[in-house]
Amino acid sequence: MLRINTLDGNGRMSTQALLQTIASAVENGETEFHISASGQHDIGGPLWNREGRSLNFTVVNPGQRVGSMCMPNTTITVEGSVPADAGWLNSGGTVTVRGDAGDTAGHCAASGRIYIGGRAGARAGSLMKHDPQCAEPELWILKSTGSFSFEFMGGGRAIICGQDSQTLPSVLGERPCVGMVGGIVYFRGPHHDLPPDVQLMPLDAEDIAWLDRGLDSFLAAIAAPKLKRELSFWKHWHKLVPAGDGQAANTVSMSGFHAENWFEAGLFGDILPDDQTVLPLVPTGSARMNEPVWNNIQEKCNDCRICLKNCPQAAIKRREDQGLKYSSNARRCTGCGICVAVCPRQIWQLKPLPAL
Amino acid sequence: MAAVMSQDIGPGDMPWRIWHNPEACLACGACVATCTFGAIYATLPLPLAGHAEGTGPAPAKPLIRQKAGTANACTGCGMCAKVCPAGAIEPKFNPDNRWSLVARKNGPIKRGGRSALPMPRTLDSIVVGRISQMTDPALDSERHTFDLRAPLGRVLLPRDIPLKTNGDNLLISGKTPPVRWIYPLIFSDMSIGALSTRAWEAMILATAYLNEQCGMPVRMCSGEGGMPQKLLESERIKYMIIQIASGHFGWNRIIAAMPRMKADPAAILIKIGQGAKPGDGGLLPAAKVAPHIQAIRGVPRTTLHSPPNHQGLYSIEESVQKMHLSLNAAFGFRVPVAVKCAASATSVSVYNNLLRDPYNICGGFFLDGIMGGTGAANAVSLDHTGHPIVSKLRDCYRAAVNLGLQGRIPLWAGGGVGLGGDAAADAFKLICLGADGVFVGRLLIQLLGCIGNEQGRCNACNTGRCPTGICTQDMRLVQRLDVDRGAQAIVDYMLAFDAEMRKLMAPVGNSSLPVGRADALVSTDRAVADILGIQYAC
Amino acid sequence: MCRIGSIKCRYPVHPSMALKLMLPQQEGHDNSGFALVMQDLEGVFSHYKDKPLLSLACTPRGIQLVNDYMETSGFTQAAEWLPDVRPRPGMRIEAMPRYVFRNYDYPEIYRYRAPAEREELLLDTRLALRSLLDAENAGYVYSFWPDVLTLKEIGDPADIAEYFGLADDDGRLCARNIVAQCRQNTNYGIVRYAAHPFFIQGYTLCANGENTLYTRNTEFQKSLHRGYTGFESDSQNLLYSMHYVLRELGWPVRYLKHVLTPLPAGEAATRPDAEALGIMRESLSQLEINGPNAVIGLLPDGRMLALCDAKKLRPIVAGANGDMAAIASEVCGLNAIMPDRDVSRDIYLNERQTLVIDNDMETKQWLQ
Repeated sequence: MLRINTLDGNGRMSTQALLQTIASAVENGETEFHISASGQHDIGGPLWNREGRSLNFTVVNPGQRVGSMCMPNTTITVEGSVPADAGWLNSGGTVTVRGDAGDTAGHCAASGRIYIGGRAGARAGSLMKHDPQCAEPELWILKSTGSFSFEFMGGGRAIICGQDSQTLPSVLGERPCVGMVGGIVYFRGPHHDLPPDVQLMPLDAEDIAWLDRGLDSFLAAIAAPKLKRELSFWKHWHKLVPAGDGQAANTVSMSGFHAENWFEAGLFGDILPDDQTVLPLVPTGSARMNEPVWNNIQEKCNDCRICLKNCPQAAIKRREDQGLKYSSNARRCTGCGICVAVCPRQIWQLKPLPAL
Repeated sequence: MAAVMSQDIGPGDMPWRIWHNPEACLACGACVATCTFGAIYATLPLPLAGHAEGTGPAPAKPLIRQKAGTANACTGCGMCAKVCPAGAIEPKFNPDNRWSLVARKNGPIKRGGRSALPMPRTLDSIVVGRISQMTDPALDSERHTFDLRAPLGRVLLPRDIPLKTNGDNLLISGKTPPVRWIYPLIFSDMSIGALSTRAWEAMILATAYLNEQCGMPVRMCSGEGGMPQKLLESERIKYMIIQIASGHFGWNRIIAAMPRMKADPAAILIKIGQGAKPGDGGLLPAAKVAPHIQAIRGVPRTTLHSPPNHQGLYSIEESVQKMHLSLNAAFGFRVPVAVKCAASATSVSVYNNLLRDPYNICGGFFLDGIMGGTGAANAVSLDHTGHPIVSKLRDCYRAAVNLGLQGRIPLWAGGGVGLGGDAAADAFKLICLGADGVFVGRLLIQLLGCIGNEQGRCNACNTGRCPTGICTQDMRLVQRLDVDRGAQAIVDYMLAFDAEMRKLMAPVGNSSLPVGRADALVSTDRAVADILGIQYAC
Repeated sequence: MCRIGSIKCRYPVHPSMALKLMLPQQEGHDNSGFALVMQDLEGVFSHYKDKPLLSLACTPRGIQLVNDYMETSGFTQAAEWLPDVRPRPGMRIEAMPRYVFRNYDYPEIYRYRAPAEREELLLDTRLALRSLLDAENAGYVYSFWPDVLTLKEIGDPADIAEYFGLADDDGRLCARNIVAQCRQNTNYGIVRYAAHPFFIQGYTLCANGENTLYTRNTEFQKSLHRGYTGFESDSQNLLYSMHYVLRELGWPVRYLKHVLTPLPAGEAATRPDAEALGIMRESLSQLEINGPNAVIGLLPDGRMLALCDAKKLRPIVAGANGDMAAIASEVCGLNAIMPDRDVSRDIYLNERQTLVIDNDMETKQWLQ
């Protein structure tokens, strides 16, 4: 057992000096540590014993990132509260805080277990992820979290037991689980303000069995086994899982909105009736820009039928019943003037149509 | 064949030349049929032997030719190319044209659109160069909450706001001028008349959709053409900023509708001038004053002039009192009254006067730069009069700072916002320079389908022959516009705009609009940096 | 990044307690300076609590300038405490030649004036001294106020503490309220005036934060009050906003948070006092703070407050043991000075919370 006291009168061992002392002790085979810290950062990881033996740390008053990048086979127990980033990027260790943890506890944890025996701060469990090569990370919190918890969570399991927190508006803080795409958040107690990213579900038998087992280890780690009974009324629990892509909010289409919510007969219906017909860029009928006129006043038409053959819309009709007469069918004609162009005797003329 | 004389106008004199490939052409005539300007026609290539007698060979495929002259000039709108199934036709810009000379035979050249004078775009020499890197965390545009709201209305100095302490609370102990917190982009004033009924309806439909389905409190300005009666009598009048300009068109009917109004409009905007043609009034030719325009504006069928000046306003002080006071009073002092001016070398004096007005009756200063659009103006006004928006907006903001009155009369900037397509970037930069928000007009009709641009394409809004049915009252053309698709395009753009604004706010760590936080910007142009008082970077 | 801390106690405590609070948080700052404001003094100052105390670091020429000005203005010296400095070779400290802590009697004509008038005099005097000293680069005046002492220096906090003898409690220098910070470096320059805590007319403020793009705040504050000067640090905006809202406008303390980080428009509209919140936001939008911040404030009446930014981007925690309450960036600081407190009652402030500790050690907290 290596005991390190980091304070000497007004003097304080720097984080750098402490971490180097620990690293060389580990190198020399030491596996048991008791550290009286004074806010030094990064205590506990990433460290490993060459022979694969486990490393055990007991820490008092560490600074930020206790147990960060912690390796399998490392166990860290903190008596009391810790500042931000406890168990950051945990890679397999067991990090126990027997008090409150500051902001971003468990941030990016990818494996191992983090046990918080009190509250966790803002952004707890954000970006937790599950690497398929390792066991999934677990983040157990006895009481509640601060706001913005489990943002962008991608995997693993977080458990918020809601102990002594039932009067809070939410044991998950404000705006939890925004952008959550993977993993499960189990919680017991009030909640509100859930984003569309997640769906709230009851526990199934598998969840209960898993929680039941895990709770024993958690409560043992934080030295509160008596809470088991209170915390294992499973009907008090819920879980949050990602909603998945199928849950996108139903949007009202513009035509639906127009049909359902708009002024009857249109905004201008009282002064300009408009049935909202949409015309193509090449229209026919009265919407044409021009109309061809068979202007055979001097009876020069020699009935060559070239117009008839060349009309792209087959809109030209020829009649003989009351004398020779060509005409254009307005329902087919676009007013393109091909008849005018091909007529050898300029009988067809293109006449502009007036505005509607 | 008639002889061609040297002073005749030929296709080579025209700004746009029709390129046509007869081999590919299917002779379907769609191009001629769609052309709203009557600029092209079909004809045979050469007189064919015997053809006139109907005994010759079947005619060769017709060619598409362009009419030369000023009456049926091609505007380059490209509808012919759009409808051609064979890719056989296209208008091409003619750099050797003599248009600016020949087209003036009927008087000054008139057109719509924006200034076509090639000017560097100041906003493009500015970038958001102050990024939260280690000094403070950048925000996350998707994860964090952002508050994109801007004030419209007269804001009091803190020492003047009527709040009284009552224990741990503050109670309101007096009246304050009305202030609306709205989306920082306003759909700017384009009148019914300048626009077709469908184009205008598409804009208000998009506005309603953004408010009611997307939670974005976008407001739309009516333009100086009156208001549809149905809208005046609907709750949705609250989305509208009703404009009054020198012609006061439609106001007799707006006043008459007051007893039936279910809500107050968002604001009243007094238009003194616009950036596209400052000092020049509006003009709606009798031909465009269709019966429904007469009904909305309350006028007979006649050419409608809006004089360049509000008649009877002799000075800034009078303009404040007469226009602002009267319109404040008309709506019971419940509706903000703002003023829109073309940016000018004198804008700072105007803004100073408004800021010093002791009656707190001006609720916004809309400053419109030279790159603003219009439906009809003399090209000489469009191209050569006006003032760039960026430095003038900045001058006004800094003038207010010098008086300790920044933010008291919200500054709204327009005139070229979204000109390059990136309205969010333009808006963000203008806001950093001191604007509370921006207004856009041309961008909206471009979203509806307008194909006009600053390179001289189309811009025939003044002719009534708009090929997209937006700037015309000819129902043949109006019916080309699909209201729902147009509204959807505006909504889609606005949703993207909103997301892009977050993308700009997040890296500078701001969750509310960074009004006046010019320290977010740097310019790669030394002169621009100096005049705007921002960092030069290279 | 810096670390901030404050102590409020029923009995007077020595600055060594503040050093102890800050020591475990050392890796959170860059160890480049130490500054503190003490209020409600005991020890050498206990007999002069009503006499304005000038805190000064200057050159001999600076002393002359100050003496001349104070004499001309009619202030007479009532007491003086000169710290017994202990230089040692190798110390990392950029000490000024002279440190002066002096109590003055008000000028004759102000003896019977209303408190408000005296408060303006004290501010004007500090501003005048500052510009005199600035003009000749002859020193720094940090505060001039009854019962308030300010000390700021550049260097290693441990060396600064040793230099001024702050590490050992000799009973001469102690107070019921201490606000401290261990950093001198700012994002801009190394300027003594840029070190937190900042002080104006009885209001003290210390922040761990970054007031992103503070031109807007600064431009507006310059027009609000003659005392809003300096702006060597973006966090001075926070002090001036606190002073403006609480003193100049006289608003209840719960509205400070509404001014610094207004509720989103949609949410504000649902509040019973929506209209007042709206007017407030409109009028004071230039005071809004967008960057990450954790803030400790000390008010003239001795109340201590804490709040943070709207996204909760900086840490801050408060704890108490009945006699003493402390606020710190990190809980390890609290653990160092109050290891036996009830930690379950520690308050981790969130993005909506304001905490106020009054002189009876009662804490009040509420959500915006």
